[in-house]
Amino acid sequence: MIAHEPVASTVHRTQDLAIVMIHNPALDLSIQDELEALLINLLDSGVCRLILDLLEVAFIDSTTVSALIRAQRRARAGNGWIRLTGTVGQPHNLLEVTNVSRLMPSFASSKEAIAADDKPVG
Amino acid sequence: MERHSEDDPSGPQGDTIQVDGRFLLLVDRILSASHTTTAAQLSTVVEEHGARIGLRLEMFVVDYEQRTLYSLPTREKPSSTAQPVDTSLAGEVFQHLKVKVDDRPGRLWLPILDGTVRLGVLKVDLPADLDAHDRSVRHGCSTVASLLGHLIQVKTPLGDDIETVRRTRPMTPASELLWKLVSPPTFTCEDMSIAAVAEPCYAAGGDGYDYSVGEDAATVVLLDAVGHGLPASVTCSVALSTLRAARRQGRPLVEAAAAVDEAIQSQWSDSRFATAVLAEIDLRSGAVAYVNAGHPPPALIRDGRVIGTLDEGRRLPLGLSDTSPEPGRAHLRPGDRLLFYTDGVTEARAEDDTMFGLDRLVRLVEEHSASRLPTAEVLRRIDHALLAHQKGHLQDDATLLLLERRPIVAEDIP
Repeated sequence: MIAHEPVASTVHRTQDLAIVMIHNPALDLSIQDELEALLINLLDSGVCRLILDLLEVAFIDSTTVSALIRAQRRARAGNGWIRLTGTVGQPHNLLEVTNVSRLMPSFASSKEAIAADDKPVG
Repeated sequence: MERHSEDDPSGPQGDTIQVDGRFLLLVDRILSASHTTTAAQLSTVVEEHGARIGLRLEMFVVDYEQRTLYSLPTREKPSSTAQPVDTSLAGEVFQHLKVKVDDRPGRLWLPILDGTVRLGVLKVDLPADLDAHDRSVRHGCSTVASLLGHLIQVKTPLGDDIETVRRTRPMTPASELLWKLVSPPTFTCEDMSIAAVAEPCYAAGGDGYDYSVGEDAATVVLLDAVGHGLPASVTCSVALSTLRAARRQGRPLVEAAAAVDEAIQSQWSDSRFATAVLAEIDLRSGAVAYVNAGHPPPALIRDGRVIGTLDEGRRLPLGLSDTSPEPGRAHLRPGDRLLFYTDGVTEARAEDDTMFGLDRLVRLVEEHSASRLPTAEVLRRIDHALLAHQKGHLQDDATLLLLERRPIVAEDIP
């Protein structure tokens, strides 16, 4: 059995924009469901522009990448997007090696993420 | 792989050796009996026919972790005995694929191979009139060992008796699936050798590999499906089976990759994926074409150094639709190696958090290859180094595949 752990997050929301800071040091199978639920709930409640800040996250696994892709798909279906900030170290490398950074682009800051061209990526 | 030496189990080539008629009789009798022999009966059949010509034969098979050789029980000896691979004469024979004479007079140990897949060793106690040092006696024993290699391989799937001797622990359904799916762990032909090792051997996740060597080209795939346990191995099996089907229809690499996207999406809508490298190697020229679907790029090793990585031909992982990339290109000279690995190898962490890393991996490949060990033994040692690094606790699946374009050696030139 997989023990499900809570996602530790801080959400700043203004209208259709949400900035979600994740405080868990590792995102893996045990957190994946709850993380996905958090993102989907935001998207379902009218958020179109969702910035996920992973600065405090030192490790993500492939199931988390898969969950992020699902959430991104949902965001796109509502003409929105999910963009990442603060990806360094292993999470950055995994997103680059898998080429998933093309679906889930990373930005240096939330300001840049918001300012980036609205054209859908990937 | 070493070439034919006096001790080579495949025997000398070119000259004829007078083999004692008893060995031929033994081969003939085992072959005749083999048609209706079960996995459970094989060892007893071999033991009994050996005894009829004065030989005492005992077969040992290696366990999945390649640490211990276990004797196959027979009617006479119903309990299995063990020989450690690292510290016994039997283990030395297994490691180096050389025939060894025991201190005990009249006793020989020989490797049991099917092709170049190391299955175990054969212990032979000779009758008083046969000399363990005699070349023709050794050749006769090698012929018997070769036959037994084929028979073990053919009989193992028919029952659980040989299979269970090879296991020190229960195997998960995911591993049962994966071991049936992947190609044999070692293959060698004139142009190249391939060897692979996968951990955890009793509890696999989504790692898998496949290869096929044809007349002109070989294809190799290493794949890592998202997640752990059975769901991951099911994704892996859909991907590998789809790639095989595409290959057998002659479809090019990029199309084969697209076929996997389609297959995964037709089964699941949860954005699952598998990272993979698909490579095709021209056997004559050494030209490599490849697609890298979000996988750690294999390393091209020449003269002990990494001279490049297969990081072109990039696309998203298999299962996530992508535009078809132009395949990446590389070239293998004779003696060059391509090292494929999953991130579970390089990112394996020790207690102090140091990663196993690509540098260490390449260094180990070079060290062990320089000591002219068989490719499968090189990988066995790296596998054990990787497990030791993590104190035996694997955090992730780890799979290695080493391909070598075989060097041109003097004896190859007529």
